[in-house]
Amino acid sequence: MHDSATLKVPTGKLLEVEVTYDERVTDARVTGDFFLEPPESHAALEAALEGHTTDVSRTTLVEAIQDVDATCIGFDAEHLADATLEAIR
Amino acid sequence: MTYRIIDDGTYSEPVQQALEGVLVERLDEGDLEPTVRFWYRESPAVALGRFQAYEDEVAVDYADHRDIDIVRRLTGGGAMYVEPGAVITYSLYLPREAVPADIEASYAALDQWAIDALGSIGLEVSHEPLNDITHPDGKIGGSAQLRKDDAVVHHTTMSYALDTSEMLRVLRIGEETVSDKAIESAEKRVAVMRDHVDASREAIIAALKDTFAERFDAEPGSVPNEVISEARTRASETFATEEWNRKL
Repeated sequence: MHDSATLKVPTGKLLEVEVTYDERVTDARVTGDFFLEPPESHAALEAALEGHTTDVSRTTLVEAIQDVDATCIGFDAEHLADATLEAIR
Repeated sequence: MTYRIIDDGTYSEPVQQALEGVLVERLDEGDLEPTVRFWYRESPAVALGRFQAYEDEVAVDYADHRDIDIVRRLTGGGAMYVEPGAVITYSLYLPREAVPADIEASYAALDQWAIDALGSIGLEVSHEPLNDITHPDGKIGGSAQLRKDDAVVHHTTMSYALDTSEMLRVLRIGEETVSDKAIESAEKRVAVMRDHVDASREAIIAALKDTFAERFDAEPGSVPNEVISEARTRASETFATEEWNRKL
């Protein structure tokens, strides 16, 4: 299945998560008008959302996102986890 | 620390965006002095934020029909519609130690001289976190940064006389979800300098340069030819390619 969710972060930034999944998330795409340092960490951030079963907990997702060596600017791991959960549920 | 002020060179949007990468890398490697550079463009363009989805942001058929270049930047942030002579864009290339470590504080600090310069000619603008420059009438511009180990590029685009109706045809600012009323408010959210000050674009750029030179030690300079040719190469290999521009 393929679904997406868009989250307007209180900072004003927009976060969109697009996921392909069956029992597990096989592909994730994260787009929006946010910043990431270093920008090359974008691929790792997307990869952190993949491989989870669709009943993944918010805590697990948040931890997976926080494990990425990236500084998220304009959103945080919780926002990205929430948008991901909304897309897969 | 002496800054170079570069106020020449007209380039296509792909070359402009490529120059950002080359210049910040040269500074990072110690091969460039701290610099402020004013941009001159060849044609209308959309500068997409690095992480934005191409199809979400741009009315692609309309932009193609109008021959508008759509170029993904190296920096994050939002899409900007730009027209030569109707916007003012400049970049600061700074050593990392000259930039506050806190990201939010650094946007405010690096926008301040420009806000003061605009204030000196009677434009009442202020910094709005994270990365906007606003007038009481709406957003007048925005900044974006990219950080290297020892260098930072901070670039800012402001509307001088932007055709905001054309902007709304080119950019899909909430197109699917907004009513006409919402579009009207989106248009209102963008303020253009010329509605609020009786000054030419050249005079505003002169005020920016004057304030910069008063505040910092600065001398005129130019982009080294070797940097321009490297940027042209990167433009044709990356910033003018569908592979880069449509990668998201």
